[in-house]
Amino acid sequence: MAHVILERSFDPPLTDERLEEITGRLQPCLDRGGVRWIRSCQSRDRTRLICEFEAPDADVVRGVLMQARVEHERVWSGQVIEP
Amino acid sequence: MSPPRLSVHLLGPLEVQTGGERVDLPPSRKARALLAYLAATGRPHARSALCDLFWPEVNDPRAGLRWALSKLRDVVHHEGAEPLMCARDRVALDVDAVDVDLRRVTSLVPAEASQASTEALLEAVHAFRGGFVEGLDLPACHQFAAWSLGTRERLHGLHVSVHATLCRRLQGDPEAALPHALARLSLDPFTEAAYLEAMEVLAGVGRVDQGLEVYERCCRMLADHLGRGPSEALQTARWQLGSAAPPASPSAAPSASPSARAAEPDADAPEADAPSPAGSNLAAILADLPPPDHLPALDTGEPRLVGRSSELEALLGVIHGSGDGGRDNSFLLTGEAGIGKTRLLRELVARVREAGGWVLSGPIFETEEVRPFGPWADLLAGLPRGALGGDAEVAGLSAVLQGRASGARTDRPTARAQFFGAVARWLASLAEARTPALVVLDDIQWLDASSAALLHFLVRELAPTPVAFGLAAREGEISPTTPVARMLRSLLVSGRTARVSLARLDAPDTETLVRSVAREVDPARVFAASEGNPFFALALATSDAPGRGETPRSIEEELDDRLERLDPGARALLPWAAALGRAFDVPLLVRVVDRPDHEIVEAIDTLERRGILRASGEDRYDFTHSLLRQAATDRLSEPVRRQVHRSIARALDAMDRTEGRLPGAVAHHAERGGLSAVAAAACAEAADDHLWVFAYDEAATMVERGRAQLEGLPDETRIPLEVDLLRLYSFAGLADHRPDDVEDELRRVTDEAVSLGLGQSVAKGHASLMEIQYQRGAFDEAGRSSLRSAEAGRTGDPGSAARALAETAACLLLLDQALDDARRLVDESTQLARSHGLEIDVVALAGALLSHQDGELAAAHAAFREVIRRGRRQRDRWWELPALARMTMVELDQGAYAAALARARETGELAVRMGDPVQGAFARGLAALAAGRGGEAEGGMERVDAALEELRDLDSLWKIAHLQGYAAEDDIARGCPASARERADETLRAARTLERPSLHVLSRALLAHCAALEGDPRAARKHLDAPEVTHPHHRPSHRALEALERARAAAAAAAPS
Repeated sequence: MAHVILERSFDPPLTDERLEEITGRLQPCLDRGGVRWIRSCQSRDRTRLICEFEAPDADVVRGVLMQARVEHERVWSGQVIEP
Repeated sequence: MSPPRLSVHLLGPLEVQTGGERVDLPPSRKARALLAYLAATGRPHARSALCDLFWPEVNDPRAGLRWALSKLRDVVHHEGAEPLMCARDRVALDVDAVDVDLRRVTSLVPAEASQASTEALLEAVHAFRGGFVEGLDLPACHQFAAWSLGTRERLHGLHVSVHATLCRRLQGDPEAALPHALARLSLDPFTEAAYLEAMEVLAGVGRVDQGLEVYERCCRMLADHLGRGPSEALQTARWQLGSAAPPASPSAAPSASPSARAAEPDADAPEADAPSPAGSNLAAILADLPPPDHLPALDTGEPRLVGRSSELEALLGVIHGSGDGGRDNSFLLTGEAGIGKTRLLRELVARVREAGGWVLSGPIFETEEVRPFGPWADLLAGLPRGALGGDAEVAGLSAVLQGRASGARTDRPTARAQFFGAVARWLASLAEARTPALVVLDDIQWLDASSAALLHFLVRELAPTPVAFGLAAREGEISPTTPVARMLRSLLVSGRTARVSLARLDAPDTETLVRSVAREVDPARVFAASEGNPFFALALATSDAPGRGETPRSIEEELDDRLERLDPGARALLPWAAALGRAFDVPLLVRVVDRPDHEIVEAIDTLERRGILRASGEDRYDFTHSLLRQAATDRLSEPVRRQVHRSIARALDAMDRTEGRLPGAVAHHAERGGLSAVAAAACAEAADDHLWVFAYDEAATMVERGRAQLEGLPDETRIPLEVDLLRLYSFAGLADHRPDDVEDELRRVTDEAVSLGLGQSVAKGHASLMEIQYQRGAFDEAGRSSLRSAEAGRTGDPGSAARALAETAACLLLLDQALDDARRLVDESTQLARSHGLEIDVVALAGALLSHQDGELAAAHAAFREVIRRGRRQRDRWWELPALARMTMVELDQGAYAAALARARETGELAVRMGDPVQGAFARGLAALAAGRGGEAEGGMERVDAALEELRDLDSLWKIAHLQGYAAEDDIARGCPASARERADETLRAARTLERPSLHVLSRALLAHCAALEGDPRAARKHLDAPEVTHPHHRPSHRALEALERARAAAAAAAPS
């Protein structure tokens, strides 16, 4: 499985409700695509978001985002480097 | 004196009253919506949350909120009371200081309506003036729209259940129940149960005409919205309203009823006494019909019929009087086992045939109660083609009943009533060609529910025709709650069915019978022992036991003695023959029993000579009497019986459709053999089959039987089986059989499938949930199961529903998962959009993906073009790039290389403009392939490889797999199998990672082709025999199948002669 990162920025800043709505739309597609959402990190000002997924490849994540109509700036897969 | 309290009415249009006077509300919809929200929730809300809810897209939402609150203060503050509490950060409405109807209802009915008192329900009813804040929608405020939609739905459901519960509770007082039945019907007009309830209550108060009107409305609703005819329950309720005439369902009546046709001569038809050539041909075919296999012609050596002359006369009277106004057209022959019912029926068959008439009959077996229409299928299967007439619909009947040949599909309840009507017309046409006409069903105590429903329909519908029905059943063996028992009660009450009971023979008749087969026995002793049961008497008279003359204790003991005296070879075969449960084919017995063929044939020969088995067709045998089969079964100990069933289950399970596989039989034996997983899988398969023949009761029974087998199975085995079983409830035909918790169960098992990474099961689970929610009109939830809850819109919006269905279908197609479900969803979304004149891009996309998968290339190309057109028209180009890329692939598949090249360039340019590097690289790869195939200069594998390198960096396995697949095909065509193999290997790796069945087959086919070209047929065979090729999850894509065909041809050519 690949480690896949999604990057996205928000203007206006992301609200809890908006985040909930996005995840609500995304989750069934993630399930069907065999994608596991590991975690997300949002900036303090809520304008930037990074999500970390485990997926067969990056394109599956792109496809899932496409089906859920969730926009993104970049989706890429890479190696995890830990200290 | 305290000031009058303020009351806020949310159930219906929003209203505020004080002292019974209506208070003017602010014109602002947002201000009114804010009041409704505060009143309904009854708790404090952060100002920021309210801003997000009602002013999501304005520059200064707090100012909007302040303004709205100032308007609301004018409404709710009066005479010193200030229920609107506005703090710096929070806002609330003091619901203790105001009366809110919604809160009163929820306090009266806190959970289920069924748990509330009748008084509370009656009080709650008065609070409902309409739907939740009717007309107060804020479509631009997504969160509020979603909240109000959910609240509206919840309260609507509560309102319906309050009326339904009251209706049930007031059953004893129909006048009091009536308003609730009618109110429920107006609230819930798409549920058949609401109509049924109203009809029952109207019947109770004597308003038959209104009841019939309700029935007609229900028929129209079912036909218009569900595409099906009235259910059996509805038809029964209709009878109970008291009209004598059979119902002519608007949806179900396919044409003139047979009775009408029989009664009213067709103006265009030839004169009645001048049969058409087709009619005379049919008459000739009917004249030549042999007697049914299980009611064979009487043999001269058989004992003659003794002591049944009055019964025979009564039965012949029914047959000859059928169709003669007011006379019976059917009879029910009852009596204990061995009393001679079948023997009398055979006599009757002989008499009808002697009189120039015809008899049709299908056997009924105890093990086949869940084989829908089993006897009808056998009855039709045994007929010559000509007997089915020239009508295409009628000619298709047999195919329908045999399985899937007709293409009649299950979940569009392809009106079972239409099917019944066709059978009735066909039988009426046979009776027009030749009489007397008799349909016989023996041992109906084991009749399946669907056959019973068809029989019930035919007896009623064909009453004015000469077709007579002969039924026979064992006394006391029809459980009163079964569909057969209900059908018989109804027929007997209707006065169309005569009941004839066979009593035991008296001593003189017993003596006559016994003397006809064995002159030397003592008839008095036989009579004393058999007590006049003819089968027992004959068994005793022909017994060759050493101790003959002693009186056995029972018929069972006598039969057991008889079997015990067989030689060991024949005796050993008996359990297998008996356990098969019905007439059996010799090849099947050979397959099941682990003994040399010649021993089995010898044993069958012995059993036939000893009168235990008789031939009932080519290579086919049956027990001469069901009591003998029972005796053979009873001889087995439980462990041995389990082993026998287990072996039979395994043998039957190994058969495929072409060998006459019967999943219901596999399930039956697997259950008794303790093979839980086999049984559950076979139950799912059988239930799916049952849906094809409108046998919904049996399908639901099989699903539950399957579910009962799941306990104790390991999760990896259980979860896919459980999903396969539960998903059957998503078919519209099973809507009435769905357990209340089916959605919860589907969610649970789908979550379990997610946790184990069982992709196909996850996809099926989601699709099934989506389908169920769609059917019950919960479009908001369906949208959530799909993708776009925020856009699902208000309940009942067909556009949102069609979009949600199509999005799920597209998702499944893109993932190459659960394609059967995807097909269903594509069909439904397309029909829904078309019937409302809607053009939705994703509906076209789902259809395009399905057409591409199936290899309908022209249709796929047009549909992808439509996706782009619709998107551009609606200024929404979300799907444009993927659609363009797919169009390029379709053009490559079509061999239209110049068009593919142009399309790939267009795709590449758009990808650059839209900043999509993945689609850009894919388009460059496709362009290089198209150019290479078209002989253009910009073609070449170097460019393909460059695009592949980009895609590897971008981690896009699906696109890599497809580019490599195309490139491998080109390498094969150029005679470079080594290069092709490397490419196909990468496709296979991608297929494994992505778990895409079609890519698996494509890559294996390419690898097999390469191996064949490299002179390695064994390797080629290995690829072709890989499990993912021989047993794919579903039918692979057309591209994979074409590659497979080419590979098989290459492998065959490379194989040593």
